[in-house]
Amino acid sequence: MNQILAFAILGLGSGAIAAGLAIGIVTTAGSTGAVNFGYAAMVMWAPFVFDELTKTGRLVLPVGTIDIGPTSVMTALVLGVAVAVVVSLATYWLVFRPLRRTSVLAQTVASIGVLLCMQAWVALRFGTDPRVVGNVLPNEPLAIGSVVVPRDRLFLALAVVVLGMLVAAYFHFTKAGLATRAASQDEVGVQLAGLSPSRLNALVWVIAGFAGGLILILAAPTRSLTPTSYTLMIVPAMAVALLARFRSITVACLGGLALGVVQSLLTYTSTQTWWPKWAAAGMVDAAPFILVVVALAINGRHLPGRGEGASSAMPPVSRDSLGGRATALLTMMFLVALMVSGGSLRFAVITTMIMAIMSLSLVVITGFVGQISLAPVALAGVAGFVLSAVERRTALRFPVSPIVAIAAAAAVGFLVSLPALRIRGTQLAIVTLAGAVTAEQFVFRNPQLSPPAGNLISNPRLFGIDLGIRSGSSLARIQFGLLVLVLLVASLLGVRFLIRSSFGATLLAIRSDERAAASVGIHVARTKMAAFTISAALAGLAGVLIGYSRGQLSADSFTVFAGLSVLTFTFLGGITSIEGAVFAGVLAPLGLAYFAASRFLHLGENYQLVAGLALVVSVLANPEGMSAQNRLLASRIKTRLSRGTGQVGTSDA
Amino acid sequence: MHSGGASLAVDALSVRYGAAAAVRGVSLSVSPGEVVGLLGPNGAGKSSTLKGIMGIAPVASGEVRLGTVEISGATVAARVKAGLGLVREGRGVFGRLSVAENLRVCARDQSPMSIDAVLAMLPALEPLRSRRAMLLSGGEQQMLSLAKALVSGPSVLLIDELSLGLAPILTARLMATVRSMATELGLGVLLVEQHVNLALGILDRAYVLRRGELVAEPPIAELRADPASLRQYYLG
Repeated sequence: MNQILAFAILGLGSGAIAAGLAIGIVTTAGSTGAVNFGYAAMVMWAPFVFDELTKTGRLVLPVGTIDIGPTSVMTALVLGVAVAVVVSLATYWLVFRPLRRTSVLAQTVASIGVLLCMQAWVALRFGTDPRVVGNVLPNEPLAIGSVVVPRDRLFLALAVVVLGMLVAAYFHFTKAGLATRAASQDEVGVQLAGLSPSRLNALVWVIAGFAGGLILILAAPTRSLTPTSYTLMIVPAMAVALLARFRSITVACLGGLALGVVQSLLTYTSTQTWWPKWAAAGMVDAAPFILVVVALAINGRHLPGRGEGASSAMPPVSRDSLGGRATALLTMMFLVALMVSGGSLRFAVITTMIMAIMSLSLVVITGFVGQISLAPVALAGVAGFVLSAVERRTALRFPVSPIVAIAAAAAVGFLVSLPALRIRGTQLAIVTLAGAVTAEQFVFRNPQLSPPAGNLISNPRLFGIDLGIRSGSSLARIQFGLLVLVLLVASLLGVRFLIRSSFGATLLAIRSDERAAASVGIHVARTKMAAFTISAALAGLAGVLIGYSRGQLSADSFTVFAGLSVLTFTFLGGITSIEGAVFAGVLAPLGLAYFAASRFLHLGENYQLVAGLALVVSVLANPEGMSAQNRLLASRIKTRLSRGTGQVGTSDA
Repeated sequence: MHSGGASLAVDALSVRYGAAAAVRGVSLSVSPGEVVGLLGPNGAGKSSTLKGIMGIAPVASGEVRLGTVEISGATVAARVKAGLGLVREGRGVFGRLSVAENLRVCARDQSPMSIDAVLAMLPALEPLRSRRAMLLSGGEQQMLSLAKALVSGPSVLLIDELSLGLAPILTARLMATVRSMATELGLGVLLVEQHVNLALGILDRAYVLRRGELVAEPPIAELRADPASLRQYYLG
């Protein structure tokens, strides 16, 4: 019994983090309407600045460093929080304020750009080695019966409750707070009251920066500090914020603490003998996902109606993109690229093609149906791991085993579509993000489900021909490149056929207005399920190919960050067009642009920062996505080319 | 309300939405204590004129002065501080906030009208102080909308469709309130109203707007005597 109590108290540490961050998310979402996936990454400057100051006396700012010598804990705390506040305010002013009237997709994508930027930026400034942060709160041991727990967890919980009460009081009892709530519904009305909505919102982002920065510094001693782990604290916090319907500070506060306690108790029970071994690892990371599902079940009725979908101001879809001639040209280009290249460059060409298939999966689900999904990489991972398991346990080989794997991914995609029937926009992004984390921690990194020897995958063979990527000293064989090319072209043509069919028309109808689509007899639920399944199958295909291209599968190919970056690059490439997927493949990590950037610009370790910045800037410059620009560029190139060969320009651009 | 009561002068105001000109070169004035009607058929540009004066519609050209202060380029908030107020079409209330909270957001320290003073003028709102605005009836919301504009202490109040969706009896009551506020407090009012018959009773003067341009300034007495005569201005 004492042990259970001790674990519950220990859980208040991560609970306080989830609660504190959820309060920040609710604060900004309730005012500016932006759900900020980059929030945790944004305010994690605070613990890093704090830690560096207390240990070395150097004040490391986002830009520049000031040596201020030995610093008291209190000074370091104030400076750390101040940096988080400034970063938060700057993010609002530079990113979210200009985007406040754009689509949910644009805001979500921008916030993911913020996440990637901040994570890379903090890593550049402070390194990625885990840090042990010193205590601010009193930390004498507290004996509960025979068990001893650190006292700071109780103070942390208290701090987060006080913080929540202060923030709630601001919104309910001050004129500025009331006006902020009013502005979230009616910006003009607040202007007519003689107030500036921008200034009110800026104040809210200051509060969010303060709350998040403070809680992360106070709670940092309970968890080792790395840029990646603190960035991902957004996941449980988002789950809690969703439970709070992005409105209730009370639910955010108590829900966060409860989640931490439950996670800690799960850790405790998973050490018990009766607990199934396969569920021992990753249970803690699965908890937020379960919470999200529960939250949706409870709040389903109150979530945004289907009239107010993510589709507002989505870029137009070209149903006539990438016609026969363009596809032939593209095929030729890849073919030539495969033939003239070798070694790591050819590997980059192959990766580009695989990532184009992956992005195509997002083009279908997000571009055509308007559902923001962060799951494709996780679905690809499912396919990869199923492929490995099938080959390990059965006699099935290529081409049957990958088909089984792709079918498995499609089946999971079908399951993902079930919650998506009720939710849309940001909520779906949260569900799929939490699902992706669960898949990574619970499946891909679970030693019980993935053998310690690694997930070996044999080379694909067809009619006695080795289509594998490696053989002897050759690391990027053209045979595999050709296999990928064939599959890419088939996928491109398949998706083109899809969007030009009447089924494609129903997808677009749902994207623009679900209710209107239903009113003309479109079966919205069935169509969405079909689209999710198709999208998942494409992701599965990409996952299988990633498996073959690596020879051995590791969870590192299918991390949550990989999933975020696929959405990033697909948005940059043009999420509503088929050729956008090809652009996305070129931009993706290990693709051609990445190859060029690391080879010629030596951007390697900064690639994520540059990509994140590019994403934010491109969303700001063009909230409807880059597809229009890219399409224009593509049509110009094509006209130029066809003129060169003496042909008249084609109609399909 | 604003000490002394300033008069509103609009000179050659034009409002454009993209290529479409909604208001073309409208000039008008409102003196303290005066209730001025802005009449005209649907789509004449009445609401756009008010929005242009207030700065929430894109103004292409023209000048707006309140007293001696030129406010043409000012932000909406600055215009409110200068003493201009707008009661929007369609009950602009903050639904999730209570009546008292709605008024608190709009109240300004410099305003000569306290929340209590405004509620004294609109006594029907008094017992509803703690009720959420979204739960009020249409008439109550319209009253709250008026009260919100009043607590910011305007010297000139622009009112867009006070009667929209209300029973005639309620509209008449609100009109009477507006009239008495203008007379007793020296508040200038520019009133856009579809229900001309209800409005005529409280107007001192009227402008007629058609296709974005001012076409007439008919004498009120004449309109009261024969409301149907207005039709000739509408049809041109």
